[in-house]
Amino acid sequence: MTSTNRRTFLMGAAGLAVSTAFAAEEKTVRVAVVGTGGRGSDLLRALTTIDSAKLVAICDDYPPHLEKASKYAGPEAKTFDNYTTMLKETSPDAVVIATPLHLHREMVMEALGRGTAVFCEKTLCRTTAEAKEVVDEVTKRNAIFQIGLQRRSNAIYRQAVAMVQTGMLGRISAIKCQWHRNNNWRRPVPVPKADPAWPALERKLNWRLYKDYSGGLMTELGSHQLDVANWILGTTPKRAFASAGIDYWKDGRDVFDNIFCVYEYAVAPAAKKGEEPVAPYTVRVTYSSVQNNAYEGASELILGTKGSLLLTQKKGLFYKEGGPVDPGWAKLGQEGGDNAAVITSGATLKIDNDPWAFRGKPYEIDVESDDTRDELLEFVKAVAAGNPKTVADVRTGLQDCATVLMANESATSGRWVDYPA
Amino acid sequence: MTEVLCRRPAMATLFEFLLVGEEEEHLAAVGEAALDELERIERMLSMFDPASELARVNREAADHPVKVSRELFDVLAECRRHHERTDGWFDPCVGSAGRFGDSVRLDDIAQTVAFTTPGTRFDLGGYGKGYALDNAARILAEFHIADFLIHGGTSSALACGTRDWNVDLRSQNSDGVVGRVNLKNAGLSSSANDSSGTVVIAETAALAEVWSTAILAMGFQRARAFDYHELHAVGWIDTAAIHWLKGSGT
Repeated sequence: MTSTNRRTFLMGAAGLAVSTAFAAEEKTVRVAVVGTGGRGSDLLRALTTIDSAKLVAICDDYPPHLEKASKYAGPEAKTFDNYTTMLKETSPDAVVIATPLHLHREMVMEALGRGTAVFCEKTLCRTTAEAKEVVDEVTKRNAIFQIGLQRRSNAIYRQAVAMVQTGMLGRISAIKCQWHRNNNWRRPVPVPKADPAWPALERKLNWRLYKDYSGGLMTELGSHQLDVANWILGTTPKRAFASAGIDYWKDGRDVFDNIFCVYEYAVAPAAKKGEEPVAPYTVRVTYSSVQNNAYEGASELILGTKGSLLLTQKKGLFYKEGGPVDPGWAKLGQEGGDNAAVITSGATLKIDNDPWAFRGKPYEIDVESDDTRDELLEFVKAVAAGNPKTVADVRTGLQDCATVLMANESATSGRWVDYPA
Repeated sequence: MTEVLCRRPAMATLFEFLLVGEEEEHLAAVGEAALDELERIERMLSMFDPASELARVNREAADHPVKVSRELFDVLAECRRHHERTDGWFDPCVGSAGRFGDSVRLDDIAQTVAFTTPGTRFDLGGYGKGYALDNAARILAEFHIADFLIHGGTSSALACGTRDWNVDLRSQNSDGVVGRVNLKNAGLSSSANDSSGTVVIAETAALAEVWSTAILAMGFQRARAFDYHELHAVGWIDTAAIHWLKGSGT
């Protein structure tokens, strides 16, 4: 081979490599969705806006939901009332699972068994034991798995984690979070109460309200926010205490309608280069969920020695500690330099009388995208690339699952509950 | 019979649903489901929420065709039909740049939207309220709520059922009530500028919204000459009274 030929050959090979990479990026991922209620419909609608995804099938055993979802999905997505049949007949590259919590384990395992990539809505499973089974299976198969914790794909939360890691908040003092609403959390039933079909239909549609199918407020709402705490603190809680009850919506539900939790985390920051390691310290996280007052809504407040960060899905606000303005009075660290302080004659610095004003003006963090679409975009990309490292992997799912279930266990037993071994 | 009033802020205004039925718990649950539908539509159609699907179209469609959901595509295709039917007086494109007719390309096969004139943006604020009311009404009907009156920001309303709902119309340009209409199984929309206003009653709230906007934009003289065969009633509101161009609202 002459040198010219050799160079040509290499260029050709490089060109080929580039085009293969391009093809991999553009590969269309065939996706199926099971569970077409509220959340499932959000997910499938988002999937139809992603160029590299093709929605091939949707499945639900409740015909009214399936019918409505079929309109969103378009005529090319086949409809099924049986999950196994759907997987067999359409062999999708990936399945999105948005069914009631008690069905997650079985459906995830079946898809994994067929070599299908899985996106499963939070919470991972109804018990920690089930969640561990799923982790083992994903690990054994090196499968592509993503848990539906969309804040992991949200630019605000990513920025928040980066701000904590770079020390902008100082040492984390505590985290306060809550998801408060003011409604009965019920889905309406399409037949009158007197209809013999009512009781079964009511439980089917309102699965969130019954322990047989759900972990209630903790698994359906708290899982998002406790995952934020786990993510920001870089660890799982040591132990938890919770008090909860059915105190307002005495309507036949058997999950709590309000819950207040305290979690204790042992945080051990990584030692910086050339510095002594910092001794582990305790950080407490509080979480509450109520359903008869919506004043505080859903948010997480990260408190640190140097600042506070208020997080929601649409906006993040960072408040520095130590007052609203710096009048430039104290000249610290300027030995032998200029004057050590400045006094302004005749003009008292005015700041707002409003007690809230002492927080000062926050630095705002905005986001320009929908995190539900973004999490699916990242999942589809991982499937197309055959990359099992997803943005919210199965271990994250297990940790989140174990964390929220500790609170339910504590509220039931009235005792502190340790993080499961 | 019992009545339940449920309300929620959405689309930069307040929506209220007055529902009539047998059982309070059922009415409340259905009301919440219908209010959730508003939020779903807002997540799709808001131009102010950067996370909405429409906001993504507004950001990206001048650079490349944007693949949108079937529902948003259908909404935009419907708006194009309304744009043509009103001789261009209904136009959800804002800004000095483009008009719907010549600045937007809708590809039905690829399900994409592209702006052919840079600077074009959609504002579906008004249409979105009507569309949201129509969809909320579908949910109320799906769960057998027979009688209801629902409104968004008091400028768009929809009534359904056996009873007649009396709706008084106020004008932003005068004190007191300028007229009363009788709403039964129909949508109503009212628009106004500094000097005049319009009121339209039609089969759906979205259709009423389209025409109340278009008629206000075209002005009284042109509006008198238009054919309104698909509308129930059309009124022009000046300082103190409604001049009915079609029907009488009762």
